[in-house]
Amino acid sequence: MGGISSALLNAGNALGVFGQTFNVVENNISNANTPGYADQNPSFDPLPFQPEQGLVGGVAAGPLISSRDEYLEQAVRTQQSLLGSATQSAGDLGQIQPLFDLTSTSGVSSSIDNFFNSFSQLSVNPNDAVSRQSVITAASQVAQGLQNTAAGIAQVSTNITSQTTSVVTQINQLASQIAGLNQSYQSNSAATSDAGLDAQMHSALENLSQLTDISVIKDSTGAYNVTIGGQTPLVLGSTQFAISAGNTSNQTTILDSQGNDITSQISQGQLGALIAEKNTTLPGYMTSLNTLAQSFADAVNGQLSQGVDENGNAPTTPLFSYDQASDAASTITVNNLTPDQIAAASAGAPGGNGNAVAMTQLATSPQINGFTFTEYYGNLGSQIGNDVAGATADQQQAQDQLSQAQAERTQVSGVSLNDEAAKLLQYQQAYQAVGKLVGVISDLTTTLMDMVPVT
Amino acid sequence: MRSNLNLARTRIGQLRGALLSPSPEEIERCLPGLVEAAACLGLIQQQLGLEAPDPGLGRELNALKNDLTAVNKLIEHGAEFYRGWAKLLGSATSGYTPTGDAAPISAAGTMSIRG
Repeated sequence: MGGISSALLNAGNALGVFGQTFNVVENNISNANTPGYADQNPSFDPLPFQPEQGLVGGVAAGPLISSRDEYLEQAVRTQQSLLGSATQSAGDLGQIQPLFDLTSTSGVSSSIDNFFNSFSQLSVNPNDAVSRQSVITAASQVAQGLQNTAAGIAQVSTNITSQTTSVVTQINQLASQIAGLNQSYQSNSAATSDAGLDAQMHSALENLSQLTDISVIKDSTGAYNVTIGGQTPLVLGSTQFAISAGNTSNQTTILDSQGNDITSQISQGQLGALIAEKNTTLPGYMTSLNTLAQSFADAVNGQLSQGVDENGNAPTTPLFSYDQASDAASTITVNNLTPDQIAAASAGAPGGNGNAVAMTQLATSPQINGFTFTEYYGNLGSQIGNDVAGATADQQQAQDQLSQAQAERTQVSGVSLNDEAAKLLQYQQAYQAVGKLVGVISDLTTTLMDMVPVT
Repeated sequence: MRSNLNLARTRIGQLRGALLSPSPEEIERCLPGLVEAAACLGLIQQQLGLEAPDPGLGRELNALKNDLTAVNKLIEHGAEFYRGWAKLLGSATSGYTPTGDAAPISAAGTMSIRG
């Protein structure tokens, strides 16, 4: 009888344990699409089997074992940061590119061409009032084009400032959530094996890594400590250290909770991209545009000052003016001249076309760093086009690498050490073999590209 | 010429797809295709010696070069990932060498038979 009752007890016990297993499996399936969730694996502990002492053996449910691996999580977070940065850059620079459309008939490039063409027309009939008015109209279009482009860049810069504020707010919200979860871990040690809390924590960390470059260290209490750029604490245990964004001299600054400037520590994630765009990329474009506006206005004004107007007088008011203390491109305007005040004639030959002809020669002579005005503007447009293409390629590349890291996380989690060691050898051989072949194909492609001109 | 190049690009595209979710089997499955891609490029090289290049071939080659750059990055990234993973497992199983590097993985008693 003892044997039968032991067997029944065993069977009943085991059924209870396997019932719990089904609960775990059901929970895994329910959470298959939950962000940050890692499979939980049931473990079984054998019970002592000593019939003489009434210990009937069987199995008991052990603790749940998470398949999560922090190394894999960090690899995914690193790629999230890169993707966050690349996506932000591609989006923002994509707004700048249309401002420098080199094919547009109403852009800066064509308005500069039209301006010099109007002088060419004037040189044919130097005292024709309509031709003189055309010069003033064309000059206004150049000024308007430069102002519009400068205003477009300024608008993107303003958008970046507000996006920066929004991203910093999101970072602080996620940091607050992480600190709250850490508080749960510290107040109740059982919470560290709660798959739901674990999923929330890792989802928050992954979202945070898209926004900025973070380092994560898990401490002995199970809490996750987060630093920005590996240096500035954002979350330590249950304490959050909020960061803030400032704007000084049109430059973004990020301050830690003590008010220290930590801008230079942030290079990745959306925030890293926003800082780089606001502090480096856009000011660079603006400087080039200002150089063009200032050089153009100075060259035109300088040439006109050497001639005389329709009445034989030296000009008293320059055609263009701009605010030297501010941005030339955004402040360039055409002064209120009448058509007869355009100095089309040379000083020594009033009524002639000498100065109008000299003006048309400005169009084809090097004016800025060895380039004509339209060449210089074209180079700027090309640079922006290349920057956008580079950012888009980076975005695609980062997306690929994130997909790869996520797939690796899925594949590698929860395997045995022996399986993993054997698999690592296979991976090593596979990567070596494919790497060599791709190297051969790459060399062949380069050889072919040398033989065929790329159009 | 163009069909050979298209085939090479298809094979590279398949490898790129495989590398997004890599396993040794998946990568090895791409190897015959890559050999085929290399042979196609070799044929194009021979044809270029005999006839004028197909218009637009240069652009296609440039696109192939971009694909190869992406594939190379994925290979480097994947290999780097598994090097890190091996270091982690090595230090977990055998500790560290006297110079502070992770020891090689010790998986005593493991036998892997395939085929």
